[in-house]
Amino acid sequence: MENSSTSTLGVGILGAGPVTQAIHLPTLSRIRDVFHVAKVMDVDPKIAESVAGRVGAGWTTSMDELLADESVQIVVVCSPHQFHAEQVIAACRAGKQAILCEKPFAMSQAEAEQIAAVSQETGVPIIVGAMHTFDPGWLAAKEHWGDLVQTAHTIRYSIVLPPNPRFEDFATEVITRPESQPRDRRDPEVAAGMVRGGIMGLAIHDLPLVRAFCPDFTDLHVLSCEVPDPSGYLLNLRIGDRNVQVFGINTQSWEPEWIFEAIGDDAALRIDFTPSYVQAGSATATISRGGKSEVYGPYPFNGYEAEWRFLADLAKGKAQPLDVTELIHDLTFALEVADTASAAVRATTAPKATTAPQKEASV
Amino acid sequence: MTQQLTVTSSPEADAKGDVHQVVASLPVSLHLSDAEASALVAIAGTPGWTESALGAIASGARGLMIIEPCAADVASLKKRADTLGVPVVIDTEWAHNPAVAAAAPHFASLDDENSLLEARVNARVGADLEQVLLAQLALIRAAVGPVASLTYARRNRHGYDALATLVSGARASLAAILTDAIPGSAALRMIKPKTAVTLTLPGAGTAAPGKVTVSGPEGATLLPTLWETSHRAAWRRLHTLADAGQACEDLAAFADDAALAVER
Repeated sequence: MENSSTSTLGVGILGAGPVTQAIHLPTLSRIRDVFHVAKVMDVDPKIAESVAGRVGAGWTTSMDELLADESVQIVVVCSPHQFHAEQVIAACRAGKQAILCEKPFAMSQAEAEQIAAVSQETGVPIIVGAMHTFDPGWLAAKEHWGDLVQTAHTIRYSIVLPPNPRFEDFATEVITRPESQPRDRRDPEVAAGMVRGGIMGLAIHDLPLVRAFCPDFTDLHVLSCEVPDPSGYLLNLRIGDRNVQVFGINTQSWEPEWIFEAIGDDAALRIDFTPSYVQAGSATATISRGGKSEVYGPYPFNGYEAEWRFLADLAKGKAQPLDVTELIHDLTFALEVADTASAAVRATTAPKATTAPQKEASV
Repeated sequence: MTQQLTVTSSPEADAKGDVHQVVASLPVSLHLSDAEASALVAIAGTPGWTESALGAIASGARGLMIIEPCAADVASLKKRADTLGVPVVIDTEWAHNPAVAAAAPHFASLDDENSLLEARVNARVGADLEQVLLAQLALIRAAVGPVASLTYARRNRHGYDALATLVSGARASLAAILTDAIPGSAALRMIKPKTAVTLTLPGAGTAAPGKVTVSGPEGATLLPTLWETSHRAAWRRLHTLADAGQACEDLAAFADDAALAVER
């Protein structure tokens, strides 16, 4: 059990579901010299009390109460997506030192712009929980990839995702999980929903990485969109002059894969990320050119820990706040991919005889 | 006892198919000859290759190796070869790699109308995309099954992305990426809810082994590695067929693949 301390930053958590239990609390336990959990809020009092009890924190079912608590300096928003914008804005208005919002940080461009305006007005820095953008493997690649952003012509982003509990259960003992409903991917509306949900729930993690290699990211065309069995998405995109494939498949397998590639005529980057939830170290980045390969990582900590360390630096004024405009661009890019791809799959998925229904999952 | 068969190869065929290296590695089965009427003839698949093949048969060849053929009308050649029992083997970059045959039964166990096959090729900058696709289609045919239909999502100087349906009804995503940053290679993968098969292949210029990984609830198994180039495996097959006086179906399969590959 941890004790609140005036020497470390107090964290208040909005929403105490699996992400809080399996990601943020285990990560914070690795950096106790910087943070302590001061208060946990969840609409379910039993969950709030139970999760807070794990770390010796106070608990509440009221967001207002948490935000009014002066022992809370940092707020992390882990509630369902539809509450993110409202809660981030409230945390800014409460004068907290910094905010971490789980992805996506809003569900529309209008919401995102509202958040940006409030962040600017109040001076409260915000980061979004896109952990791979903080991963030491990605940052090392960024430092060494030279002109690859200008020269890459092909982007590949592939995730093979086993059920989340397989990893959550190694990270913690989860006390509650959202229910997954069986769905039939051959129904056009279900297929469209799967693609949109898959992009905004899973692919969104690394769409900022894709965008980094697509300077003309607003010039986006969906060339094809398919839903693999049992669920997921396979998108071929043209973004500016870049050829992009985004693939994700939910399986019941034990074998995870999470790869990002950017390939040009003379240089190529491949990043192999570790699975979500578990503290399995950083990604490994390989840059190949001229018959040689440079390998960076794996480093001893992953993007979750890196994002928290960055948050601490923000709160202490040691790091420059992220450009909120970039966060808005990341969000609007993801929304555009999700909307156009789901529309494409709705238009091309012909209703067929129902097969065995399948479950959909996201991280 | 193995019958040694003479081999003739043009410089073009040798350059594309490493014929001399293959013969050197099969010295009991094959022997290079300058004679006009060798038993086996290697022909580069450049335009006009079918005429060259018909000429070789007329000169008494017992078997032909066509190396990386371009699309062509093969009807006359097929008819003549079938009539005379002359095997015409098509040698493309990956299809004969022994790892392909090792992977085939495992792909077959997953291949149904709910399956998605991912196929990717990394090829050199400037490669002829039609030839790349022909080699990829031959690989898919050998490892999984024939492609029945194909539509490009994108095709440009950097490669292509295509969507296809296999004869089994499985969907397939075919990609080619042109780059000099990483070695040429090919990969096939089929992922099912609990099981998967992955095949990765080096270019035909090396005997580095293709790798077949079969995974399921019990774990993943890497099948035994076979250190043989696809060219050598193709020649072993041609020797066996010619020795038996047995024609083969490579030309028919090639014609079907070529019909898909020709730019529409």
